[in-house]
Amino acid sequence: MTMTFGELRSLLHDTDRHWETKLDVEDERPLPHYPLGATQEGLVPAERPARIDFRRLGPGTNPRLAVARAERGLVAPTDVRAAFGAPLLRRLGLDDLRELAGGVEAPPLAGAPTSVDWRARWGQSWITTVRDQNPCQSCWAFAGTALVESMVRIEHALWTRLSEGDPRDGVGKGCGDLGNLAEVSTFFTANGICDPGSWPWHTDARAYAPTPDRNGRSVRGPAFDLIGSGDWKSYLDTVGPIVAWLEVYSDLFGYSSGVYQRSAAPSNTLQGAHFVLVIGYDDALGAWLVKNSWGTSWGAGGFGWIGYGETSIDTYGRYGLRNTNPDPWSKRRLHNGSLYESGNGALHRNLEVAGSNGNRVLHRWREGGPPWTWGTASSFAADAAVCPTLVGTTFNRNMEIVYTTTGGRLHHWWTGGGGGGPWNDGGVFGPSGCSGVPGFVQGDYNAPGNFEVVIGVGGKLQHWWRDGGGWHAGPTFGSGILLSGSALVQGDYGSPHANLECVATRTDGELQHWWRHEPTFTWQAGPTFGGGIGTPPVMIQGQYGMRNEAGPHGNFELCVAAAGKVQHWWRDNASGSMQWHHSADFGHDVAAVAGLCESSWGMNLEVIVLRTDQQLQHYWRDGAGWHEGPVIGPA
Amino acid sequence: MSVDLSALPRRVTVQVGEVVEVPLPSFAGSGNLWTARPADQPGAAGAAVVSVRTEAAAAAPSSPAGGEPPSSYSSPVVAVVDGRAPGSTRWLLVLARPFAPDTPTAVHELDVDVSG
Repeated sequence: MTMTFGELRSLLHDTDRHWETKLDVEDERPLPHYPLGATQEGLVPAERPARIDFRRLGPGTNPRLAVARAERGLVAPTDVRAAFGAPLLRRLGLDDLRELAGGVEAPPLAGAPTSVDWRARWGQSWITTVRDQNPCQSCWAFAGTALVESMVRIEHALWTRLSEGDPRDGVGKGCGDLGNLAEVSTFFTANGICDPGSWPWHTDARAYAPTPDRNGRSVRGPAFDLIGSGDWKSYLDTVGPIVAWLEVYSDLFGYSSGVYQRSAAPSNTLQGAHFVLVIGYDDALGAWLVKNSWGTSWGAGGFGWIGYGETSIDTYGRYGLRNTNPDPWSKRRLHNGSLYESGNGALHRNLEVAGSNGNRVLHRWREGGPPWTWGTASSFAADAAVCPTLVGTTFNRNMEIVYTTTGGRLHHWWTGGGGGGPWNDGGVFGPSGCSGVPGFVQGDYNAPGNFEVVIGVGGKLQHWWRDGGGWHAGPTFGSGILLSGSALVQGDYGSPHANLECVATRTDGELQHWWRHEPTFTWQAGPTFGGGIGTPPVMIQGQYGMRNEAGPHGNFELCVAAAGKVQHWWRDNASGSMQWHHSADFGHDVAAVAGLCESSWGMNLEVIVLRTDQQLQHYWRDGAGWHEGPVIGPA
Repeated sequence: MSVDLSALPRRVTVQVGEVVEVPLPSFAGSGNLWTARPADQPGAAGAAVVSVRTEAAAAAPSSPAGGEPPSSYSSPVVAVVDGRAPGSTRWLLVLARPFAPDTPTAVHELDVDVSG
């Protein structure tokens, strides 16, 4: 029923609106009805995704992000301190905050800052390299994959390279197919996203056929968060990047710098709609910072600023991701010896340790968050002379070990499905008279990759490898070898397969570096370093010094026991000097170093040592130096 | 990098004063736009003019604002062939990124026969 002028006057008066109608119109006249220019038929009401409860985030796995959450009042400082420890927080400066002293309660809520840029947050980048979808219509697969990669980096301090071809082909689409992020989220939740070695990005037509070990080389996680506009900045500030939809007008192709604002010229036509990864914002610019997937020639090296609200970028909800679970393949160079950071646990960063008392093997684990208590998973075997070398493999994310037996040979065991099942006897193999701890890795020959072992025998080193046909004896190399160690790594030098690198302890007390040249398969003698050493070394290739997943090469990190302490050595691979440096001695009553890994605690180094009393003890290094952790228990 | 343009015609016949539209596959989502330019054929230019036009999307996204974003999409693109004078001419339909024009993604030759 149409309202009259008189009724409207009464309404305005009664509700104290301070508005008036035209004064020269009588009360009885009906209000005019102005059409909107379109009927309401077909209009779709707006939706509002459920708000994110940022107070439920907890401290998370990234110490810097935990500090930011505490500063925003989203988590109690005591929870942050419990999750990361006072030394690390002191280094980050949080001890200056009064709240940390007592702070059981979170401080009052504070809003998001005026700008965020994940390319340069806390002095480092958290964003993988810009990719190029050309000429495919696969922006949705690229944006979703970029989201997963960035969250692995943020949550686990891990650079990883995933394949955009995996979600695209995995949902049954091809180069010319359009799509959306819900498809990527559904695929990711069910299958994860694998690395290009399992299934590559490609522009031609192919049937989807990833390697059979895809399950063990795919990052997993829950469904993407759908985030409403009121939470975008807080999510970007306290969680990570988010994927946005936008319209593409012709002038977006020519954007190169500044803030993009769509031209209203009639010639600027709508070309389509697109997905990008939003990696920041700046209120002073009034713009979102986006990572596009059109290569580095577009915008500013592949990045661009899109003005708030421009080209419909703020029209729809955006997608984010929390609680990623990196795969064993992505972390294969980051651990060695008896220590492995698995994907188990609520935070997907449990520490797993396999010790030996000279006979049986004891598998222990520690949850990736407070209260940091060590539990015992299982006890098995009866012939382990040394602490085993433990790896996570692409065989269904198995954990597998190889150790030197009391009879001087090698013994292989495995437990399936992430390590939750019983340990299975993989059999005894190898030569007689083994000395030291076996180096043991899964390499990239075949898929699933062959196992590679290097063991000391008769004053030399011998290479063994396992493919689908079983274990095979490889060449012997070197001389004057006292002990091998858990110091075999397939690094990132060499192509198409990376070189094998190992370090062993010589009878003259020095360490020597060896590497196998690709593709001649010949072992080359590298430099000797150190002195006075009579124990097996443990070596990894970490990611310290890498600017992104493409490089430069991460350093080799090595720990070895000498004179009751641990010596830490590192080779500077980032600068190309290839020199080994002795950085520190730490610890006490150390008989041998058993395990080493670069963990998700902001690239900390974690070390497990075998003490002279046959107990295992945990040490770790953060930016503040080396710290003594608890005695875990008998080896 | 592969773009399948096998479905595009190699030759189009029009009459003087006639306009024919040839649908082009859109690659806008990958940053590519179509443009048209005459091939280097002295004396043949002027028989026809070819231009590229982007159409409005057939259906606007129906997703509710604020909720899940719709799928990506590309607006339809057509090559518009305008017969001007009797003769034959060759035009190039160039698929390239405006931010990398020197490295076209694909080039398609379109021969146009114009009859009186």
